[in-house]
Amino acid sequence: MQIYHRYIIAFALIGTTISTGCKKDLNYTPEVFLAQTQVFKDQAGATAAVTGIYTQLQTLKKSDYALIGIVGTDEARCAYQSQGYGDYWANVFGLDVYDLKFSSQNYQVSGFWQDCYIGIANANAAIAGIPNASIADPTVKSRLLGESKFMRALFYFYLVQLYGDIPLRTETTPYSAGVKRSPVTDVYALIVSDLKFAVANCWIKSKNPDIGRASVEAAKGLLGKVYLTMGDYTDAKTTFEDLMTNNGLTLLSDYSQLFDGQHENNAESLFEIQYSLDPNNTQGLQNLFGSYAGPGIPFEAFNTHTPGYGGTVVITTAYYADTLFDTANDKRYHASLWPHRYDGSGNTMDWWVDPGLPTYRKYDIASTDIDIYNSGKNLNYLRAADVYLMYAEVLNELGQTSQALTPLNTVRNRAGLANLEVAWGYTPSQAQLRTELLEERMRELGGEGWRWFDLKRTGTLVARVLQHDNPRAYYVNINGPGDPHPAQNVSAQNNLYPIPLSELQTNSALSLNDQNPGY
Amino acid sequence: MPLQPYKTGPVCLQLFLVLALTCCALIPATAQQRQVQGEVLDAATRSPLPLATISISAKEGPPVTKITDSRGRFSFAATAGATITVSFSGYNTKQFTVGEGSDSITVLLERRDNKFDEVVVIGYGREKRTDLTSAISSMSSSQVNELPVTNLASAIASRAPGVEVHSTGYAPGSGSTINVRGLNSITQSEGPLYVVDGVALTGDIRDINPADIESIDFLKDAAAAGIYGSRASAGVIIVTTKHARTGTATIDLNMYTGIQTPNNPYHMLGAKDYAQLRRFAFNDADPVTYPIGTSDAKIFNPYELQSITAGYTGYDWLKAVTRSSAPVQNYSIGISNGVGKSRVYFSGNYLNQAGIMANTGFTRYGAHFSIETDINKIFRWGGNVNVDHNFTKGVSTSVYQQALTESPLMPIYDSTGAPLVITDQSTGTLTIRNPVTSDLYSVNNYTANRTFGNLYLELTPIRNLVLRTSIGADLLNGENDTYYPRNTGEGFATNGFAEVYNTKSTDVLWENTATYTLKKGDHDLNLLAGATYERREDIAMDMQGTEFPTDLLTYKNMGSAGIKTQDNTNYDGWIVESILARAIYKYKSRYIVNLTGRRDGSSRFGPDNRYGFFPSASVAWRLIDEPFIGYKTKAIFSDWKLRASYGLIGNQNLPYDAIYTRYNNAQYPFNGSNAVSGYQVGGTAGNPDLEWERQHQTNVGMDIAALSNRLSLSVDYYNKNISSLLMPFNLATSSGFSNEQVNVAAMNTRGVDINLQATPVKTRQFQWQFTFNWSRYQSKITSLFPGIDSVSLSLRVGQPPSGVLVNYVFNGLYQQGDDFSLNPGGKPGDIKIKDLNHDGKITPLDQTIVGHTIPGGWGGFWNYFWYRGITLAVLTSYEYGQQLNNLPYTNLTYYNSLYGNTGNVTREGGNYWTPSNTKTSIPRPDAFATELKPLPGGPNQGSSYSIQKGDYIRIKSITLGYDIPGSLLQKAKLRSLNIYVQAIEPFLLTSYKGLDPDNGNPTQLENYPRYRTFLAGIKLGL
Repeated sequence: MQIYHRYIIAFALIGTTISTGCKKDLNYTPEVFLAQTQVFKDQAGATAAVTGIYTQLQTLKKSDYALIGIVGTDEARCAYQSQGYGDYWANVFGLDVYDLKFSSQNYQVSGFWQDCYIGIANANAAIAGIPNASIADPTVKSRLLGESKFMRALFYFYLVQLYGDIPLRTETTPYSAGVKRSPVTDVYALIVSDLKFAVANCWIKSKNPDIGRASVEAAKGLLGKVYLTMGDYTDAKTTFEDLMTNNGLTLLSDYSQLFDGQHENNAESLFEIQYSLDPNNTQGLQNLFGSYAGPGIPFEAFNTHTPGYGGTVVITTAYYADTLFDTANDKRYHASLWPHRYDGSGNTMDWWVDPGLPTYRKYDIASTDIDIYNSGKNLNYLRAADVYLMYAEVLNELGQTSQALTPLNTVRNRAGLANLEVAWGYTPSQAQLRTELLEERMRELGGEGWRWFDLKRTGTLVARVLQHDNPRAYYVNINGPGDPHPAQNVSAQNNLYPIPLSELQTNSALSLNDQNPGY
Repeated sequence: MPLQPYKTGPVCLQLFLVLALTCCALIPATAQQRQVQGEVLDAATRSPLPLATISISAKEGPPVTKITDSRGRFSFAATAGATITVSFSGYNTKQFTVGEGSDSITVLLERRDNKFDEVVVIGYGREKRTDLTSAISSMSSSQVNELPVTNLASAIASRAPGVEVHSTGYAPGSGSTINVRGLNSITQSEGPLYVVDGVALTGDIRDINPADIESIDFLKDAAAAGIYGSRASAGVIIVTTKHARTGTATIDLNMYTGIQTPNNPYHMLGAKDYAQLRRFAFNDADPVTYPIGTSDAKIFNPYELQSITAGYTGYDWLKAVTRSSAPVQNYSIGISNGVGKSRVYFSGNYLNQAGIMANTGFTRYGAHFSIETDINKIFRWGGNVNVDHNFTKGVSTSVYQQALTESPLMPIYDSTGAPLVITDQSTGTLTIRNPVTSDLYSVNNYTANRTFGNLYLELTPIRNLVLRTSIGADLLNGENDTYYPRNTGEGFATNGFAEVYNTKSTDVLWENTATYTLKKGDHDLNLLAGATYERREDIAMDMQGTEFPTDLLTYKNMGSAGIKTQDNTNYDGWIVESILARAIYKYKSRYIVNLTGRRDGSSRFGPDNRYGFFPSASVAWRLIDEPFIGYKTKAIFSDWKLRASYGLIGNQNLPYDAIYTRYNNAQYPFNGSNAVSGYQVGGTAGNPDLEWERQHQTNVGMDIAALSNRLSLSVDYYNKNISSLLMPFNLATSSGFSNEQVNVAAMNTRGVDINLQATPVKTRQFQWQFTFNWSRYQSKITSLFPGIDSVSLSLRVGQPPSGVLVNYVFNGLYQQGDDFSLNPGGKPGDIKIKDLNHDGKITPLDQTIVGHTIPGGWGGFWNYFWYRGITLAVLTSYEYGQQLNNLPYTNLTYYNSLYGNTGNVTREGGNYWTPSNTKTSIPRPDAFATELKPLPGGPNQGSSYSIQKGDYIRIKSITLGYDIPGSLLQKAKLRSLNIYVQAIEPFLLTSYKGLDPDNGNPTQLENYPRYRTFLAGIKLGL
C-alpha cells in the first residue's frame, strides 16, 4: 500500500492547487486591444494615443461631413442629382438649401457633432493620461500634451462656431455623465487656454519629428483665427505678428501646387490633414466634388477614373464660378475650377451635372491615386495665405485699412494680380475692403472648408446665401421658377446648427428644450 | 443499387486476434467446480446472441467473465450457488444462481425497450432514469444513427422535446443552431454548452462522427444544468462516445451509399412568357421609349434577340449549376475489446457527400480512440481521442438565386462550349452575367481539423470513494479559403479576389472531482465535490486581396495580390475556475433530493464581479412505491413519479471587451505618405461593473408508465425568469462613446415539453412502437431600460426578444382610378400599403408587427414496426403556428430591380397585374423599381405581402431494414447483419411557398436547393 499512499498525496496536492493557485489567472485579459490604463504607460503608448486624435480629424474630414463649411454658402451648392439619390443624400442636400432636412435629425449635423466629440474624448484621455506616462524627455511629454490640447481646441472651435453653447467635456468629465451646455464664452476660454498651452509646448515645424504634427506655427495661426472669430482683434493682431516675426510666413510661388498632391506639407502650410495611399488613410472627396478625374490606372479592368462613375454632389455656385474671378489674369481660377466636366477622353460631359456649371478642381485625385474613393492627397487646414488674409482683416477692423493692403497684396501678387489699389485705381474704404476681403477669401480659399465660418463670422451668411447660392440663370430658365434653388429658406436661425436630437436624447443633463432657437 | 464490396480479410484477422486474446484470458477450472453449459437467445425471436457476456461470481475467488460463441453458446465451470450475470448490449441483463442439477441452461434475454431502466448521464456522473429529479432527455446510439446525416445536430432535431434545431444552410457540411427551451437572452444568445466525454466544446458539434456516439443527454432545467453554473443558461448537451463494453470484443462495420436528388419548388417562366413579361414591364414603365411591338432591340440584348428570332429558344440555367443526382457514401468501422483489464475502442469513418449544386460537397475523415485500463483495485486510467478532418466545398451564395432569375433567353455557353461571359452594367455596379462561371470556377473551401479528448486517472482509495482528475482539450483549426477569378461576377471588377480566413480555438479543461456513495438500509447518499479550471483562446486571422496578375495561383499565393484589402488578426480568451458540489439523497428510493451548487470565477468580469454562486435544488417523489398505492393500481401503472426543481444558472457570454474601454488600432500618415500606427478610443465604453445574466428556472414534471412499461409519458413545465440581461445603453454622443453594456433588462420564458412512448403491439411475430414529442414555449421581454418599454418596433416589452416580424401592411394592389395620395408617383398595379396612423402618407411609422417566427408548437413522431426481422421506421417532424417573412419567394415572384432589370420570375409570378388582368395579388412588373418605389424603402423591404405561414409536417426518414436471422448468421459466422434502404426527407407537407419552412428565418437569398436522399446500407457485426 506504500506506493498508493504516494499517489494519494500527489493527487490531493494537485487537487488543492486548483482552488488556491489560479486566482490571479482571472486577471487574464484578451490582448488584442489595450485598455485605457495600459496605453499611457510609456512614451510609445502616449505617442500612439496622440496619433489616434489626429486619426479622428482625418476621419472627420475624409467623408461627407467635410461638406459642412462648404455647402450652404455663396461658393458651393449641391447638384440637382443629389436630390434623387435617396434619403441619405436628401440630408446632405438639406445642408445646402436649409429645408426641413436641415434639422436635429440630419445625419451630417449629428455625424459632424459626434466625430468632433470622439476627437475630444481622445484628446481628453490623452491630456489625462500623458502626465502619468513614464517619458524620459520632459519636452517630449509637454509636446504630446501640447498637441493633444491643440487638437481638442480644433474640435471645439468647429463645434462652438456651428452649434453655439455646447457640452464642455474635459479630462475630468466621466463619459457616462450628463453635461449641460456651456456658454460660448466658456468654450472659447478653454480653446484659447488650450492653444496658448500648445503655443508654449508644441515644437516648431522644423524641429518636429513628424512634419504633420501640430506645431508652434499651427497653434499661433489657429489662435489668431480664434481671436479673430471672437472679435478680439487686438489679441489676434499680436498673435499673427508674433507668428510672422518669430516664425515667418511663406507663400508657394505657384498656387496650383497647393492642390496637386505633389507638394504636401510645403512651406506655406501651417497644418494639413494628412492622407496617404494606404487604404485606411485615403480620402474620398473626389466622389463628392466629382470633377475631372485624371487618367486611368494600368491593369484596371474598367476605368474607375472615368468621370461620372460616382456621384457629383457638390458643384460651384454661378457666383463663384462666373463672376468672382478675373479669369484672364487670376491664376487661381484655373487651379480651382474645371470650366467643364470631361470624360476620360477629354470630351465635355456637361449633360451629366447641372448644365454648364464648373466643378471643383482642388479635390481632383492625382494620377497616382487608387480610384475616386481613395485619394492620398492631403487637405489644407491652415496655410499662410489664410493668415495673411486674416491679418488684413484684423488690421482693417482695427481701422488700419491702408496697412491691411500689404498682406492682401502679398496674396494677390502670388495669384498674378496687381496690388488692389493699383487694380482699382484707388485705396478702398474700410467697408469696401471688408467686402473685398470676404471675396478674396473665396478666391483664395474656395472649397477648402472655411466659407460657412467666414460668412458667419462676418455676419453675412443669410444675405450672401440668399444672393449667391444659385445655379446659372440658364439652368433656372430650363427648370422654371419651381426649382428648389436658390436656398430661400435660409434665415437668421441658421447661424447656428441644431443640436443633434440624439444628443438631447442621450445626454441626461439635457432635454428637448435645450435646442437652438428655430429648430 | 450496387453495394461496395468489402474486403473481409483483415476483419477476419482482427476477429481471430480478438478471439485468441479471449481464450488466453480463460482461467482453469478448479476441482470442486462443475461444468455448466447452455445458450443465450433473444426472448422474442429465439435467435442466438453471440458474444453475450457471462459473468460468474462465486463466494470465493475473483469473478470470471466469459462470452458466448457465434451460436450463442457458452460453457463454464462453477460451484453451486455462484451468481451468473448474463448481459448483452441492448437487452435487459439477467441474473440467476447455479443450481444443483442445472447442467444445461437456456437464457432468454429480452430486448430493452423501456427507457425507465436507462442510465442517464448527468453532469459529473450517472444516474438511473428512475432516480432523476430534473428534466433530462436522452438519445441512444441507435436513435442518433437512424438518420445518417453529416451533421449530428440534424439527427437530434425533433427527437428530444424542448430542443429546437435549425440548419444554418442546406449545403453539405452546413452548421446548425440549437436552442434548448426557447430564448434565454436578448443580446447574448449562444448555443448550449456541449460536453463531450467531459470535454467542453463550444460552438458546434458537427465534427463528431454520429456512429461514435453512445448517447446524448440534454440537461434542460436549472437543477440538471446547474452543475455547469455560469455557462448553463442555454442548456447543456452531454455527448458520450462509445467505449468498449466490459467483457466483449466486437467489430462493427457500417456502410451506406446513395443518391440525392434536387427538390426545387421554384418553377420559372419559360422563354416566351418571360419575353412577354419584359416587354410589358418596359412598356408599362416608359411607353414613349418602349412602344409595343417595336422595342425589342432596346429591351433585349443581342443574344436574347437571337433566341427570340429562333422562336424563343429557352435555356435552363438552373440545370447548368445543379446536379440531377449527387452521390453520397459513408463507411464506418468500430472495433471494441473489453476483455481483460483494459478496454479499448477504436473507430474510423469516411464520408463523402456530393452537393446538389455542381462543384460542392463535403468529405470527412474521422477517427476515435478510447482506452481504459485498471491498474489495480485502486487505480484506473483512461483516455479518449477524437480526430476529425473535414473538407467542405461550397459555392458563392448568389449562384442559385442568379441561376433562377437569369433570363431564359440568354445562352449559357458560347460556341466553344465555355460559359458565355458578357459584361453588364444594368445593376449599377459593373459585373458579369454568368453565374455558371462562379459555380464552376470559384473556390469556397472550408477545411476543419479538430482534435479533442481527455486523459483521466481514477482512484478508489477506500470503498465508495472515487477521486478523479481529468485533463481535456478541444483543439479546432478552421480555414476558409476563397478565390473568385476574373471570369466570375465576384472577381471580375477587381481582377480576382482571394480570402484566407483562419480560426484557431483552444479549450483546455482540468477537472478534479471526488465522489462518495454511502448506502445504509433505506438511506442512499451520493456526494460530489470538485474543482475545475478552464481556459479558452480563440484566434482568427483574415487576409484578403485583389488585383492578382493571373488566376492561376488563387488564394494559395496571397503574396501576389496587388492590393491587400484585409490583413488582420483577432484574439479572444477567457478563464473560468470553479468549485462545485452536489448531494443526492434517496430515502427508500422513493424520496429523492438533489442539492447542487457551483461557484464560478470568470476573467470576463471586472475584479469586483468575478465570482458568482449558482445553487439549485430538486426533489422527486416516486409515488408508485408508496405503500398506499394498491396492488390494483400497480397492476396498471408501473411507474409514477413527480419532480420539481428550482435553481439559478448564469450566462457568462458577454462581448469579451465589454468591461474594458478599449483602444482600437488607428493610423495616421504624419508626412502624408507613411502611415504611423496608433490607438484610438471610442465606440463602446467599458463597464467594469458587469455581471452574469441570471436565470431563475422552475421546473415541475411528472413521469408515468403503465401497462408493464408499454406506455410511458413525461410532462415538464418550466418557467424561466431571466434578469440582469445585457443591453447596450446609449451614452451621450458628446461623450465620444456610442454605448456601454449594462445589466438591465429582464425576460420570461415558459413552456411545456411532453414525451410519449408506447408499444401498442408486442407479440413474438410483430411489434409496433412509437414515440411522440411536443414542445412549445413563450418568451417575452418583461423590462428593457428603466422607464423605457420600447427600443424599436420589434424590441419591446411584451414581445419576444427575437423572431418578431415588423413590416408594412399589404393592402392589395392599386387599381385604375384609385386614390394615389399615399403613393405619389405610384401606378395601378403597385402594392398598396395601409396608412396605419392615418397621417396621409406612408412613413416608417406605418410599420407594425406582422408575424412571429416562434412556433406555436413543434416536435417529432417516430414509428417503428418489427415483423420477423423486418423493420420499418418512420420519423416525422412538425412545426406549426409560426410566420415567416418569405422574401426569397416574394422576390422570385415579383419582377423587380433587385436582381437587375432582367430577372425571371416564377410561373405564379407570371400572373402579374396588367390593365386587363386586375384580379391578381402579384404587382405589376416594375422595370425601373429604383425610380418608382412601389414600397417605401424600395421593393426588397417587402411588406406583410411576403409573410407566410410556416406550418409543416415532414417525413424526415423512412427506413426499411432486415436483420438476417440467427441461423444464417451462424453459417456465415457473423454476430449480426442488417441491410436497409432508406429515404431521407422524402416528403414535406406545407403551404409555405419556398424552399423550406424549417429554417427559422429565411434570408433574402436562399442559396442552396433542398434535396431528397435515397440510401442503401449494411450494418455488419463480427
